Amino acid sequence: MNWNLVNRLMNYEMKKTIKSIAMPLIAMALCWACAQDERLMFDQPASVYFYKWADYDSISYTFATRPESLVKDTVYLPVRLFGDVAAHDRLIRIAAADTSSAKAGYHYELGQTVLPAHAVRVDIPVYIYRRAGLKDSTVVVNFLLAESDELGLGYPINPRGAQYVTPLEHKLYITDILQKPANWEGTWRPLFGEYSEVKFRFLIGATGRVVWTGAVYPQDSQFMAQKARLELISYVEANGPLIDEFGDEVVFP
Amino acid sequence: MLRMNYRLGLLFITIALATGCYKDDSIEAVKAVNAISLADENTQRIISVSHGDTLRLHPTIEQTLGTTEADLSFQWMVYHRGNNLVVPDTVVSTARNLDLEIKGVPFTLGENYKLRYIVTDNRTGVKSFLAYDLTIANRFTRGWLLLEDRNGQGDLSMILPDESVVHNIYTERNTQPLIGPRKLELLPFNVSEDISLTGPRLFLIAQQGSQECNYLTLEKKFDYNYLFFIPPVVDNPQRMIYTNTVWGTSVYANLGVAITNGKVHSNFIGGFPGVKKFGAENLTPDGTQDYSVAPYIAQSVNYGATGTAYYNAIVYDNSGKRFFNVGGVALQSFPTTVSDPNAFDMNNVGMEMIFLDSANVVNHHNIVMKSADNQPYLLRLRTQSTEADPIITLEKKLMDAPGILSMNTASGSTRTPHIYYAADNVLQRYEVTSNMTTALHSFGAGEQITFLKYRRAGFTDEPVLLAATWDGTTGKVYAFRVNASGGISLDKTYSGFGKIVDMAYKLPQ
Repeated sequence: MNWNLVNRLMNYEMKKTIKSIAMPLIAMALCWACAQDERLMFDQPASVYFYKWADYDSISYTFATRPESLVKDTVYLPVRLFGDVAAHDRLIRIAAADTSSAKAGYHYELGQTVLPAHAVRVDIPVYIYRRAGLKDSTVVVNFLLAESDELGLGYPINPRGAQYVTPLEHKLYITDILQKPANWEGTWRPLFGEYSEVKFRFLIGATGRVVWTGAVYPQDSQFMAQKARLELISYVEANGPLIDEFGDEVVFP
Repeated sequence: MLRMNYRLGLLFITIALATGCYKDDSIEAVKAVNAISLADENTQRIISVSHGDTLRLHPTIEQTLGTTEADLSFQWMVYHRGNNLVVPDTVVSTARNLDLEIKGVPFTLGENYKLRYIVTDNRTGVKSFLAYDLTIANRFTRGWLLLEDRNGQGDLSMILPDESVVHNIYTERNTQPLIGPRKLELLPFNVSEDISLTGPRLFLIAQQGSQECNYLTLEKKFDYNYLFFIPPVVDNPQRMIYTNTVWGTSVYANLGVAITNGKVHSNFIGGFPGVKKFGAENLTPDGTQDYSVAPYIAQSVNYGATGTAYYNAIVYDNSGKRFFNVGGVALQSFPTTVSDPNAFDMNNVGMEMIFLDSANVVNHHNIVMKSADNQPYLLRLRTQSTEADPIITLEKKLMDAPGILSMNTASGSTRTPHIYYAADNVLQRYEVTSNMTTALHSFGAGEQITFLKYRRAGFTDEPVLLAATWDGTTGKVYAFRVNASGGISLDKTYSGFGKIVDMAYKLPQ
């Protein structure tokens, strides 16, 4: 540095101040500048969240595709740990939002809400009951995760492509209404054609399949298509054409 | 005071400069370590080794810094390769090279293993790894497998590469009888249906007792009906095969086709999860069960050529006298564009199928048909087409082939344009191109030809034609060498068999 130039630009007192105060400070800073960084390790408290994808933001359960004799069933809420495992069981707090129309103890009951020792995930059982009122209505319970003594709340929002899911809540719809599966047009129509309730009930009986939403593997869908066609042939031979609620004959493409 | 501060400042700066760039202990300097490279061409294949044999492996070791192997330690570790995620491992040697007799624990006949070679640099503790794939085999790894009928009961024999013959292979390993043996289905490529581990398949088709056998041990694995989601309505198995796709140098199954009581069942397999079994009976395109296919399947080897459509499996309905393409859910008709009206119409042939086999061009097939007026016709078709060349019906002509409509057995050559067939006790050769038939060999009176099998590559890579005969008490196998013109010369004769109903050449898995 051209101290001569500096000297000319600054007055004498300022130069003295810089030299007497600032330089020691600079020197001290230089001494500390090369301190070793601490290694960054995860040290946040453990928390939990509902493990779900955008397509599975909720569980839709219908008793209508199950045998009439089935009056109680179980679904599961997948919960994952965010943080360290523990050598002991830990309580997970799950509550139902006030907006829920399903009644605890009547329509459903929560099973054990415990994250087992050494586990990173658990499927929380929810017992659901077939009530007469579900024949013409659908109830919903909106489960919310709450903080417990040892488990906090995981991240509140999770981007999945163009959609965002909320990992701290999970809906469960319960009904006994036979509804057109949400994926009928994309998954089932190529195999079975236009939807009708008569056709759908026939398919449930012919194939024995109870879950019609969600993914289906090619070998299973092909077998279902083959079996349904054979069953329809047998039905028509015995009973004549199967007519749906629209007055059309049930056929498969 | 100001002079003191100035001097203190200079002192601090000096100290800072002296210590500021002090080498941080938390970041070690990058030191060169001895990198060890291991190589062995045997890692590129599945090593098939028999119980009682000695496995010798000499991998090469290269070191970037080491000059001797004195500072290295070695370990050979083996574990079972199956569906379990956690398996025990066994150290079988700590020598530099492996010289191991394969016997006892942990090796089990028919099972697959991973053999891991671990070299440790004792100075640094750094380990290097090399992995081998092992299959514990037996002497039945390779050779001609014969399905016999001994007084109505099925059994297996084998002609080994050293020309020795082993009898009673099935009955010595299985308690379930095979009644009325019909067909031996040998699939030497990988089949992944997740019913069992990926690998080759062996099916024994019989009137009763049809089953899948372990390809290596020849012990029963599954009943035939177990391979279906629901068993066929009528228990009358006739065929079970998988067509295949070629990816590079690997061959993979893609479509299973089973024929039971003239009905087709398909199994669409692939890389998706879940057990894949044969489905329910395929219906016709019209949605009926009104068909009965002949027990022949024109298969396509799918090479994945750009712009090429492959018909994986074509079957023939002897009731409706037409061809069907085996689709996923149902049988399919053919578009009109694939049939040359000067040859024949795939959807309306009008004749009865007698025989079908591969021709001497890939994905071409020769078919012997019987017309309504009892004349033999040869139809040729191919199982692939392109948009520019969609025709798959190649030819139809009246055959000059004496006795072919009453033949016992036939086999197509895949090297020359010939069909070998048996008329009474005479081995005939029909030439597709010239439409001429030549009698090649006559067997003794009373010695009926029961089965013919052409194989492109024989023991010495020459094609062979095996002719099985039966004189009422003893079965024999005549092995003929086949020359470049399709002519034959007798090489070897084997005897002591039952009535041979099928033969296939077994390749190592």
